[in-house]
Amino acid sequence: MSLRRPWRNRSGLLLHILFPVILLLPVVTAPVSAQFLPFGRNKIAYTEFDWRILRTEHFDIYYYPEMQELAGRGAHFAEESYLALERTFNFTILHRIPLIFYSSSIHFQQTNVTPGFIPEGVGGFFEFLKGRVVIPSQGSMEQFRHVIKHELVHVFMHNKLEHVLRKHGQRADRYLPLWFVEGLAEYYSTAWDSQAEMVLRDAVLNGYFAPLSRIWAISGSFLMYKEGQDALEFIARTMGEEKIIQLVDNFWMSENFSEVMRWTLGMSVEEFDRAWVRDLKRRIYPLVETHDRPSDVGHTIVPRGFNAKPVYFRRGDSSYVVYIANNTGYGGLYMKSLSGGEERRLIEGEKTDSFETFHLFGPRMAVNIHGILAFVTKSGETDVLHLYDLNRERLAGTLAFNDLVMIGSPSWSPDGDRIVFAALNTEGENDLYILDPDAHTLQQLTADFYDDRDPAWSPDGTRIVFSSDRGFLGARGVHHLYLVDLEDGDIRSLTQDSCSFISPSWSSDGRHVVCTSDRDGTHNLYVITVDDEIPVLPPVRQVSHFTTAAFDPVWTPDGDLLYSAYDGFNFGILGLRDVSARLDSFQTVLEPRLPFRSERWEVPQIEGETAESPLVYEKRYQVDIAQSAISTDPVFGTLGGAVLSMSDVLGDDRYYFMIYNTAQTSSEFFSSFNFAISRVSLGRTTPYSYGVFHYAGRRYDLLDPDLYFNERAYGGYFAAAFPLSKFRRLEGSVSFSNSDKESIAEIRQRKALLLTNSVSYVKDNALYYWTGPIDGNRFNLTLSYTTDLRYSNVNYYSVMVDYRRYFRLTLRSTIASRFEFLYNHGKEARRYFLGGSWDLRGWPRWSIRGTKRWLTSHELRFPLLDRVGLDFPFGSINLGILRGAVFFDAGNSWDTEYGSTLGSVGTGLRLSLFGILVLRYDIGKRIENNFTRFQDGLFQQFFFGWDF
Amino acid sequence: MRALLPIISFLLTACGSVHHMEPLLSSGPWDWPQQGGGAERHFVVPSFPSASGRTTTQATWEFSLDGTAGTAGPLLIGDVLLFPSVGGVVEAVRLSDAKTLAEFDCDWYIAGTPALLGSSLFIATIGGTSLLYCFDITSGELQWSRMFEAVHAAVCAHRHHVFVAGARGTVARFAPGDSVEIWKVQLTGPARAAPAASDTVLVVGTETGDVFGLSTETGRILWRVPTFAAVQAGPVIAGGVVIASNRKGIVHALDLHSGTVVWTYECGVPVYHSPAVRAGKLLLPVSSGDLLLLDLHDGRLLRTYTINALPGASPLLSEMHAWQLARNGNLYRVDVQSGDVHIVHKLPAGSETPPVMTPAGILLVDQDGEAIIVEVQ
Repeated sequence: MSLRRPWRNRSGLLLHILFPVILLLPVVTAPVSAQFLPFGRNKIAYTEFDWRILRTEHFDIYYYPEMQELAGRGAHFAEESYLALERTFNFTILHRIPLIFYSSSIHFQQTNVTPGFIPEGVGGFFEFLKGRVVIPSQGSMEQFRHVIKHELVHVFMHNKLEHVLRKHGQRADRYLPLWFVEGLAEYYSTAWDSQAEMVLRDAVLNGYFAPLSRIWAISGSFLMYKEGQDALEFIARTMGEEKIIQLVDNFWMSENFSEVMRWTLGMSVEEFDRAWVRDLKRRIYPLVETHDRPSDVGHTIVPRGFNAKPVYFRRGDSSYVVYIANNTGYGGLYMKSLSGGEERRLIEGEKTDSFETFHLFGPRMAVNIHGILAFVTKSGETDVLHLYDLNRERLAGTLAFNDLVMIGSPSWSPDGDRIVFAALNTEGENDLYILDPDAHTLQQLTADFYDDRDPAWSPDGTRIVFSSDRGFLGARGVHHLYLVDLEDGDIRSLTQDSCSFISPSWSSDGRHVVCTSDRDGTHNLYVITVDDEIPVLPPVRQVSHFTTAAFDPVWTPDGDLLYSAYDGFNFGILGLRDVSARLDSFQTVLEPRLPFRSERWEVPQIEGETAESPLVYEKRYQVDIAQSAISTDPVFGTLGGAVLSMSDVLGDDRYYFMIYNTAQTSSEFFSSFNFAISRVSLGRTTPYSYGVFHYAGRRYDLLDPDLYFNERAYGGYFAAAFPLSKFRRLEGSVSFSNSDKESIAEIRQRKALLLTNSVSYVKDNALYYWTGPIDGNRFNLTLSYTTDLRYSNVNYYSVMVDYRRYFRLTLRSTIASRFEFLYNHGKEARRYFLGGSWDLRGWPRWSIRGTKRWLTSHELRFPLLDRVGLDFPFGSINLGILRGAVFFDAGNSWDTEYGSTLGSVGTGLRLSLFGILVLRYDIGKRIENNFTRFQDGLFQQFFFGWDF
Repeated sequence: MRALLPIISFLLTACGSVHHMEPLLSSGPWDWPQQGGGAERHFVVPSFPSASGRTTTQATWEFSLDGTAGTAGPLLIGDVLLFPSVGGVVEAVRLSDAKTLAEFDCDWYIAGTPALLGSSLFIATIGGTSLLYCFDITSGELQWSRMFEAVHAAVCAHRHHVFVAGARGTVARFAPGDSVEIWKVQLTGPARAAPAASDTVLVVGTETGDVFGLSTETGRILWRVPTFAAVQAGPVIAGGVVIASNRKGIVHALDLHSGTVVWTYECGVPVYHSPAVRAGKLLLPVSSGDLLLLDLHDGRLLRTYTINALPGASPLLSEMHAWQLARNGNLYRVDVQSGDVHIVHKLPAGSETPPVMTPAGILLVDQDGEAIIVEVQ
């Protein structure tokens, strides 16, 4: 095990490859991979996986050699789930199911099965076009089993639904409501757990619970998943479990799922809601009598937002809490005085390479006696461990580790010299490690497939307490606390019960361990008094009885507790005073007792038919999309055609076939045929694409819209992207084509053998909101050169600079600024056009043309209506949200003589329609003649498109 | 609709004459799953001389349907097999030479075995307009068709009338030659299971869990027994007792005329397919992969045969053996005395067309519409 160098040492190497790329000079063609806009973040395939296939009775399992054992266990879970679900659904899947396993979430986020980014917290997905299931492990066997079965429920449900609809002569593109789909998957894959209980209690007690008739209001949220699961639990409990699958069987009966429910359950949705909500309230309301709201018992330090992983820090006479939060859309590190005042942001993450992603609900943090904070973020290919000097408020170092993909919960030794942490390796095993940064040594403390996490170093330095599923009920995901003696390596149980104990933290005197447990339904605070003299399980006292839940408690030197708690859809940071002093007042819920012998559990592996020689992955392609389209363009005019795309199972290799025709009359039909064939390779760190094309037909001269010419061009191109990080990349492309142009008006023919090169530097860390970016910035610099190698008829270069910055004012408002400069010069230089809702507002679309162009825009964006919808007697339609804008634009486009600067001022409305389309309306006044005169009257523009 | 002449010639030559066909027709039909049990739906294998129990896996007869097969089982009428297919076509195939004699064309998916009454072939479909069809099997002509609910299960033929139960809970009685129902009743919930009839009682199970006894003459509800879970397996009548199983795995034995509960048995797992009944015993396929042999009179569990595969259809039961098609495509043969279980044939997984016993062996149809007969010796 060796240590890699800190991140900052890598930049020197990158500089060595940057200059040669610039010297190649540019070709501007279609950007590669998923970034079809000139901006965009980068989904980087850091790891080149050596894919193998494990064939079992019902599955083709894709895995890589490092995780072979994990794949075998996953295969066992998959086959076990298949048999159970076949019985549940009374349905057989007729085709082999592709399962794609990853040994960690970070590897999983690199998958190309879906082209977009996979957010933190996504545990797996089922892609229903090709029926692929993609699942990461996170170190826990039970979690792995749960996700596998969850996704297989989707597979069964989707296939059965398709069968039911086709059998009834109906189109198979109708889908069950999302709450049912996800609720079904959770219902059949896992038992009701403490997290579900916490979320539901909070929603019911704080009045934001959504009954089925209004569940669209929380569509896609975790609460919706859990409400769906609970609704199905209610159906099973009160009407019989068989009703659940009957809802699927009866889906053909009506396009309205409420009707299907009425047929199946014998009640309308409104009647169901009344019964279900009454049942929930009957169960949850009495808790108010016996349980506390977190803010009623503890003192609130950070009340609102998403705040987690508190640690105590003392600087001089002042005490602080340091924590991770995401209240702006970007995760970051914050600090707040325990005696009050405003919070301060120490690090704004998720905008730069070093702090690419904060795992808000992942690893804890720890501070040593020197004031050095150890915390974890993702940075590049893996998680890294940062050391931050809280006294000087600056980064002291960053450490990354070969073969350790994800890092969890560091804890300092009492002398502040060493760190113990949990880490997930490439095999998918989550074990404990001890790091000595100065000595550059890394010692592995545990080595097995059990999920070992949350280590905490005892104050005397001799032991480490940690949470693990290695013992009693571990196969069901129950975690207990264990003590490992650093001298002899002996591991001893601290807890043994039917519930989980996690997140332990030592008191400063080393006598007590605080932790959380879901013993009474949700996670609450418990204290365990550790007495080494008595070889029994120590007593456990319950400190809190929250209606919702508490997490990640830590002691302060004064015997107080700091923790995060969930209440009112917020994760706040709270404190509980004098816990050490009041310990005897807390109820003992588990008396000291002898531990009973618990056998170590094992998960069988399936070796499949490839035990002797694993099948190496060979690419087989299937159709992704086949569709026809019509589009219009200022240069190419109106065209119609078809697109076909194909890709392999892993989505790493894609082929696109495009054919279209621009003929205006039948005589032009054959001469106006266009096609393009491209291959895009995404499975490498440097994605690339290449292809051939033939374009022929009428083109419109931007100089005069009534002029046009016929052009025939054929050739090939190559393009590549060099991601520098998630936020920055270089792009380069070269194309080579033969171009024959015939100008109709001038009866002139132009031949050229064109070579075009371009190179771009792109940076993008913008944060998107409902209608466009709201924070961050974007930058694109592109240099391009086109020359005619044979006839010298064409020779021009292009420079494009586009910079956009978003100055966040509040959570939902921003000032967006843009500066753009496009410059073409040379023989047959290309033209740009300006005007319209997307750039110089108020001026007719594409009306201002030239080989040079500049534009600046400044816009205040703010919320107007949080919901635009219509409520009918039979239901509601939620259209979206409405935002406002006040703007100023200025710019011009010219060939040789500049003319005068044009502009506009105005105000506008933006309606985000269903979250996928933005409708725009602007009204204002045009400004002309170098801002000396407003044009008479107002302009109005109505169009669509996202804000810049 | 085509090939009128082959139908006529088949009737005149293959079985001798129409008169030769009549006894078979009037006593039956041998409607799946009614072999040997008529409208009571016993699933008992008739005593063909060749059905002595030993089997080979050799296919002795093959036929390719013009379409794919689904849940509707074939109907055996003398030497003619009537195959319903997913595409809505019923093919009449002669058993002796696998020759297609006729095709009866409906537009929609046929989920339940048709019924033959006299010379009228009744086919119920599911789909956009969910038509009910009546063909004259001698002339091949369509006598009538009409709108009805989607029918997921077999049409029941009994005492010169047919009974149809629809997926929205409508039950109706028809006579040959007339598309107007003699009576129509709306039950408490959808009926997916095939109705059964005996004497003057029609028994229908619904998805609300109610089992109804209706008068075959008038449609009047004679009794109603709630079982509290969907009845998806068609009720079976034997010796004046109705056997109804539900998705909770509770088997009810009810008196045919009064609906009184005679006994109940809890399997603990859903039951999706009807049992076979023979000689005072019933053989019930349950979704745990077992076949349970119960005493018909008191519901005692006599024996459990473990197949370990999800059943795909109702079993066939002879004196010595039982045959069970599973969803994994295997056809299992169980020795009822020793309990030995063997796989005698393998179809593709997901094949759900119920097997039928023919004089030549067991007829199996896979999802792709490939039909074979596995010899039973």
